[in-house]
Amino acid sequence: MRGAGILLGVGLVLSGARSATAAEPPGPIVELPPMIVEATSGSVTWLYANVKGDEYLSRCAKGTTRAFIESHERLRRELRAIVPDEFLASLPTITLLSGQDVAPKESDQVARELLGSEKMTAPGRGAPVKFLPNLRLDDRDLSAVFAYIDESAAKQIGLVVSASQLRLLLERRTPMLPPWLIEGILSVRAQIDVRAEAVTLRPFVWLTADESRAIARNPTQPRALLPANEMFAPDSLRGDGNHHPRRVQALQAQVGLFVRWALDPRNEVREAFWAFAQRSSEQRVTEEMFAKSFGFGFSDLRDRLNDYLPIALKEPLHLEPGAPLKSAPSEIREATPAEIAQLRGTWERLEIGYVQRSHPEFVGSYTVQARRTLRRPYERGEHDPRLLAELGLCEIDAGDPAAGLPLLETAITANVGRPRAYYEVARLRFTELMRGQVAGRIFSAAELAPVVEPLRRAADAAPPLPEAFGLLADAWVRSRDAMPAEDIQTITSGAKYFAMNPAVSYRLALALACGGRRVEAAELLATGAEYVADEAARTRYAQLQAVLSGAVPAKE
Amino acid sequence: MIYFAVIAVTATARATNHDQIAALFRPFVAEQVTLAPDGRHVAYTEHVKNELNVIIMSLEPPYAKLRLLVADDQALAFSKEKQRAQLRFLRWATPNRLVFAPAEESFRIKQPPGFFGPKYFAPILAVDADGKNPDTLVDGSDYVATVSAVPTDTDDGIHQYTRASEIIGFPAGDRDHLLVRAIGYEFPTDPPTLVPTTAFKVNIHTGKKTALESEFFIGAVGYDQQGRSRLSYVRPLHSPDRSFILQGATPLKFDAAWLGSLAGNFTITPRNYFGERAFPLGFDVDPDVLYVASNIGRDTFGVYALNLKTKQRTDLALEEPHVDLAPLEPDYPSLQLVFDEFRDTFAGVRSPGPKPVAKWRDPELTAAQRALEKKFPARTVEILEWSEAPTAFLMRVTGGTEPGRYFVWQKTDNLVLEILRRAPWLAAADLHATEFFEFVTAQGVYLTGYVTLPRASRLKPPPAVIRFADGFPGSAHAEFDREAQVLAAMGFVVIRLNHRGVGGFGIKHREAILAGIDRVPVDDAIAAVDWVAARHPIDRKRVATMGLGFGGYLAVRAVQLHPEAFRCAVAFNAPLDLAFWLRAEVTTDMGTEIDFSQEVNRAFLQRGPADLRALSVLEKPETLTNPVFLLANAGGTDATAIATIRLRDQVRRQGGVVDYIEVNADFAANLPDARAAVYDRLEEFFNLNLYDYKVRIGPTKEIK
Repeated sequence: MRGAGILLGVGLVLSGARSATAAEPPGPIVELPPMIVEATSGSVTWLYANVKGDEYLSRCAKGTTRAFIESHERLRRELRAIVPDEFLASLPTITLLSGQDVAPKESDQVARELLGSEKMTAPGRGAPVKFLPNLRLDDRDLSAVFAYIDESAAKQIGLVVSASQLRLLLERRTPMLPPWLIEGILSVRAQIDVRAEAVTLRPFVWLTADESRAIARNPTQPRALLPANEMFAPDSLRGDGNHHPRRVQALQAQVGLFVRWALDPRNEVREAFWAFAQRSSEQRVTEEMFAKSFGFGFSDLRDRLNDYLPIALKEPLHLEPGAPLKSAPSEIREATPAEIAQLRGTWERLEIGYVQRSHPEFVGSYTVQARRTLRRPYERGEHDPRLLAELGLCEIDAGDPAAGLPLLETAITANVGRPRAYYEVARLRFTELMRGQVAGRIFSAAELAPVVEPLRRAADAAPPLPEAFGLLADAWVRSRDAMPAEDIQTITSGAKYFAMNPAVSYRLALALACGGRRVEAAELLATGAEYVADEAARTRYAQLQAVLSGAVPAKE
Repeated sequence: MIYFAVIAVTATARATNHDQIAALFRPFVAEQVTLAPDGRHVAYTEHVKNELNVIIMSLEPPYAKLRLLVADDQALAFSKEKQRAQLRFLRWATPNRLVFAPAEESFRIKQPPGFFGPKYFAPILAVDADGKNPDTLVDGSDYVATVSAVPTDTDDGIHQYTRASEIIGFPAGDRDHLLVRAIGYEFPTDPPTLVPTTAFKVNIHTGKKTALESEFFIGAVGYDQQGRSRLSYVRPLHSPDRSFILQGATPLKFDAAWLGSLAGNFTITPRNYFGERAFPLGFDVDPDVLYVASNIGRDTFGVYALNLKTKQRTDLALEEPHVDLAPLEPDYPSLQLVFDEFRDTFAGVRSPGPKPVAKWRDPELTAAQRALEKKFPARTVEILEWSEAPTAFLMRVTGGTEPGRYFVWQKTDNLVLEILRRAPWLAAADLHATEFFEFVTAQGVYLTGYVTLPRASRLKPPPAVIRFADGFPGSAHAEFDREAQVLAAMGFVVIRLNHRGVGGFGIKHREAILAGIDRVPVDDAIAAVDWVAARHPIDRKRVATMGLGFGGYLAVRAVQLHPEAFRCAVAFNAPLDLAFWLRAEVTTDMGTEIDFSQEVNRAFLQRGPADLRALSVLEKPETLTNPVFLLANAGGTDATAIATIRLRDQVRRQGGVVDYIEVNADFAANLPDARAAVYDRLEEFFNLNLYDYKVRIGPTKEIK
């Protein structure tokens, strides 16, 4: 479980403009422990809505809840102006909404502080903007948001996607997106002027305001753009002289410029760009591949970006938001006790891991709270697999895997739709299998089956978890029996999804090699090695590559 | 039922306009650029409102600039446009001191008694990086020679003779001085007065001038890097042979005793000019080492070195299999030899060609070249200068659609700072893409060239122009070509071909033309059109030929030989009658003056089996049935102009289509108005004769 820092995922406009600013609040960001969602008195009604798999649990009024959901839909449409849906991970989200008038309990000092920090206005022109106090916490297979809403201004709700949330959606997308694309899209997000009516990017900023002004005034002003092959290369900041601050800054600015240029309708390359982006998530970027999409090569791209820069610095860029979604209005109804317990319990469970890292002194109370919330319906006889999965994950996050495992095993037997549940079961079984074994011990397929079986199911579920594919690879590397075709296929898919993930690419390559897929293994190593930062790991990749190429005999 | 009708294309508005052409032919920024030894400044040329400026620019933000007005553009006869002023020298002597010199000009004015020769405007200027301490170091008056003759009653015999000058460069290991030579000549008195050639050392801080040596030699002189004249290139006016003499206490001819087979080849004759031979390029920092270009025993010119003291060849051998690393004529000082002036070492060789080539001897430059080529794929990267450290490298990047950009590669942060664009007014996205091509024909001939693809065309597939190489032997086409861009804007696929016979690719490629002076290049053109058409759609019924000089001859000849393949021809100043063009020398009262280039061309072309008269376009004018566009210099009386007018008249007499246009010097000088006027006419010609709205397209068919 991983928690995000307090970054704004939701904004609320007080007056004037339609949506809130994307700019971060002024002043330092203070990291606070998350608020505890206290049990409420019977007079508060919890509302529930499910919009295409995203769930909302709200103790606000129905109108406020609807306004929030609609605003969320609008945000998705606007987001499509800078990044199509298919480039974002489909990560289920649960959102808990609370009115600001619901005062937190005396014991929840954290929530009080959070509410106290809500009167923040963004600098710049236009109407003042008030930010919703909100927090997002992420698990491996879902994301959760808690937000306080000022119900008196519900109709003026405008949401902006936070950098961290967009980063999460981009980074979790499979096949993985290359870093240049993720950073480029994030840069464009940061350029959005949310006060403007359409999706509008503010004039671009190149390195510094002074430098930007100078180039805008004089388009021939000297400037250093990286060659396109270096812009796309994952290792362009590695090696002597390559991590110079000016080079790092130039690269960061340039990927943003590239995406902006690609989105600018005047350049007529939008379709080509997304086709190229798709290819670059599936294979290493080459000039040939680039030219196939754009009709010109890397050197021309560098020149075109260079020549576009003064235009980008001078003018805002208006982008067409995506078409409205053709879907029925979402049904908002009263939540069942099980839904309340489950969604609140999920939130509280996510708090455990977050607090463990940031404020360990609060862990005890947060764990007690999460357990209490989840156990209450369980003890009443509610055995919904999702609830069981949450209970199991809660025990694991609280550091009691022995208590969590049976709950998770029951949940996966009932086909719960949570890939993390399958992974955790497999992980715990694998740990148990390896306990006390001598190094290099290999197993039969039958011995590995209890580990492999849940991993197969994890691999079939969304979102794909790299750790599940990695563990499947680890298991088969320790097998004396041949890997079945089904698992080779799964690991091949993993290689396609996670070639850029150094935590798993080596393991997947090793399994592929053991499975006789030397070509695929070599390709994966070649791509994977580019994303490996440390020298020792790169040496490991090189050694395996040498073995696969036949240059060096295998040790075993 | 579908009715399908084919209709003729309709006339459209002109595809190009004056503004586009003016933009393409506007003088490039930074015709010369130089990097300061500490890598902190560059200086470059720029034309602004008929003035030549030198700009000094800091390479640190905010990149402050300083503009120095150097010279005004000059009026040109019969033109409203002005001839652009040029710079003949621009270099940093020290990190803070820039030396530059506008091109020398001479004026015929009435001189005072005892003073002879034109007045020379030839200042050499210096200024600090911050614009302070501007100084004219020397000017034309500093090159005046005093020559004593026999006194007479009316004349004391002491005469002053003005002299032209040439800047040699900085002496090795001394960047506080500049080497300059005042060029001697033979003044036409009876008996002739010999005005000496004198080398000077000029202090770049004070302008103090020190004469080094004088000699009575007329012709090209090679200086060593200490400023001593060491080599003479003897080019007699009345003899077809040329030779090199190594000067010293006793002038030394290149001697078979120590040069072996190389020795005899140091003599240039019309017979060996295009064949195997060798010639000196210049001296090393070590004055005993002489660099030599030679293609003896090989196909292309390589660069080697001789130790004059030991009389042995050194181990240096810079060679390229398909490209000559030296031109046919040496330049003194050499444009090919590159030295690291900070370390006083030989760095390598630069060569023009279809793509500029650099062969570096210096490992650091070799690595830098490799690294930079990786940064700019499908471009040509020329390292021009580098800083003393060496952490900054000045380079020019050309190719593709790009007319050229200058960068400084700063190694400390591995960033390439774009400092200049040669044509910032031409947007990369607006230019027509150009690709280098190379292929081997069905006959096994290796051909190269460039194809420029129009961004839009009036017809689908678009028509094409095949452009032969200019002159004889043809010069390899440059990567960026303004005219190709104009033609592409008219909607043409433009194929610029380095056909057989073009120079710079070795002996075999050049001599291959002898098998058929006209047919061989024309066959290559057909092969190139086939090759390009297989990759880019081309309307094979609408292919025009085009060329300048000998290339113009080939363009017309191609239409004459293959009217079915080539729809019309465009020839600029073309020698349409080769035999007439290469007629024997003219004898005057002063003796028989040898036109060396004519001698070598004749000697070369007559080696082929064909009778040059039979190859004349004018020999069988009735076979020229397709339209031609002819351009000649106004008032020309040379063989080219005469033959062009003859062909015009012949075609007209037989009722053919000929468009004839005369141009002034402004056209050759690439001045925008002059160019636009010609391209306007050319576009009309193409509209009428290539797009040809009278194309028979057959009856309308009903397709069921």
